[in-house]
Amino acid sequence: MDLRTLGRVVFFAALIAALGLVPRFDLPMLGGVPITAQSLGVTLAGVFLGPRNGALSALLFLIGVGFGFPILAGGRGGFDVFTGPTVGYVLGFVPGAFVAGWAMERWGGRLGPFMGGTLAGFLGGYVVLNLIGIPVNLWLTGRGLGSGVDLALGLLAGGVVKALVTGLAAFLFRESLATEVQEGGGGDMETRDLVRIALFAAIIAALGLLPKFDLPVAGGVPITAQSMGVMLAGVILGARQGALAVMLFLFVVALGAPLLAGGRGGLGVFFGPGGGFLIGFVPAAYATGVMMDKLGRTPLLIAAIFASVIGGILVMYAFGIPWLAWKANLTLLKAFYASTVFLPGDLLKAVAVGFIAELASRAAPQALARGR
Amino acid sequence: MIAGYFEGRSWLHRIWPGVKLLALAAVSVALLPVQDWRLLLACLCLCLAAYASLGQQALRRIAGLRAFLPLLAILFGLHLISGDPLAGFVAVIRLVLMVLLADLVSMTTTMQGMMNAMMPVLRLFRPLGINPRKLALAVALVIRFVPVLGANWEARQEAWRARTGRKPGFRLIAPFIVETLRLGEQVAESLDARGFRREGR
Repeated sequence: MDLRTLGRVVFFAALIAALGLVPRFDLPMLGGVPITAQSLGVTLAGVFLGPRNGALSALLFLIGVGFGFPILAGGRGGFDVFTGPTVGYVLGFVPGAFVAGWAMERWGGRLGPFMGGTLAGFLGGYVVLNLIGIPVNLWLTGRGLGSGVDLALGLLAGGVVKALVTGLAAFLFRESLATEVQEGGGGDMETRDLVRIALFAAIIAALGLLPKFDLPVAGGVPITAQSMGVMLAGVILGARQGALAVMLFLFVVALGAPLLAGGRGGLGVFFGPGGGFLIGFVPAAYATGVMMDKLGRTPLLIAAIFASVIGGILVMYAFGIPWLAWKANLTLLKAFYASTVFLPGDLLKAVAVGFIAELASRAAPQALARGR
Repeated sequence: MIAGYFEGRSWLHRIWPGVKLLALAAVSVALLPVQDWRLLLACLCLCLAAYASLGQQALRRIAGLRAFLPLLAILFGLHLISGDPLAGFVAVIRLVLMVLLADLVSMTTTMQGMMNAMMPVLRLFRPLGINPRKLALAVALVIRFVPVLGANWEARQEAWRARTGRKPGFRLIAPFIVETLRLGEQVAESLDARGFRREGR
């Protein structure tokens, strides 16, 4: 094993440990079953390192737990973990990573990185872990088979979410997958793509510096063109490059460049009440690009408007509203009301994006990701 | 929040950027569960004192919070309606405090310093396919091209006004984007011609 491979194995073992520190999400709709992110690290290790090295990474993590590091979800560690009722799940990490890697090798090429990663994440992170974890749990706690079924169903929603995250990660970072699944061409990013992404980030910045349109319909709420730039990134560059352009833009803002609408910038904006909307820019651009892809046969105008509404409004608000509620101590409903003042403006922007995309494709069909 | 860095030799300028960033992260986590308005107000006073210690230029930056006021007013109003003005007060103070603290870091750290501080973290992500050198180029491109695109937009707007006498709307955006992407092709070609790709490997 060369040094680079070893580095990757250690990196993923550390990632599994780090994900255990993520607080548990208690999703109310799941009936209060806590979801930890740790098994996500396991499937990511399998998908990105392949079966053998992925399992090795999980094993390395378990050795760390055995030596007493409190790196298991909930801050547990030490040898008692291996005698507790969840021992099956913990030991299942190794075959889980192996199966995830194997599934990715087997089907990743045919299904593509996203679907392949999702399938691998589900098989390794849900099916294998529960196949080992539940029987051991029932045996050690002396409960009946019925409670095992309950457990499996309760964990299903979380398993699906984590599988989707695995697929998304596999898609976003497909250059570094263990197996060759990317369609065509090289592992490294072309200079052309890099510059395209950088220049689009600059376009998003330039749009934010435009004077605000004060639309009377929106009740005097100032409307900036910046979030329109996010929608445009998804529509014109596609999901991956669009999301990267937005990430780059936010990174430069975080470094302190005053590129946000109104000349704001620096770290402060991410701590403010609208920080969730800013972070939501990234999935918003990504979702817009995915929708454009899905609507490949719809007329461009309609597809771009619809994709912008889904990505630039629905997904963006899904990130912005909970953040606002959290930061400002509001209930979700109140945070939603507070955000509705931006809704008319955002709808208008989605329509504008449709027309801009239409015009752009007439001027230069090859400029759009879908044209190629 | 109005603009980034300003020149200076204050005590905050001299602290290593990585320390400032870590301290900011630690403070933001520590302040989140605090519900006592007296404690938060005390922290806010400390923060304002830090601004004062940096001099006039820093104090003037606080006025930049104006952009925030409508949103803060809405938030406070929503708490007021639900009959809990104290919770609204706490939320508003905490937000103002966090934004001011983060700006304190941005104000006293050069972009280069910030980039250097982030590099070790970015190197950790190398196994995931992020190349720090390319990221540095991308950041430089964004910073360089924002004024270029701004001037480009101005020129377009002027031409439109001169020919139609009307205010330009969003219809200028499409050609603007197309031309920018074309410009990108040229920039990429010249980068490759100067051997960027070979070195990047």
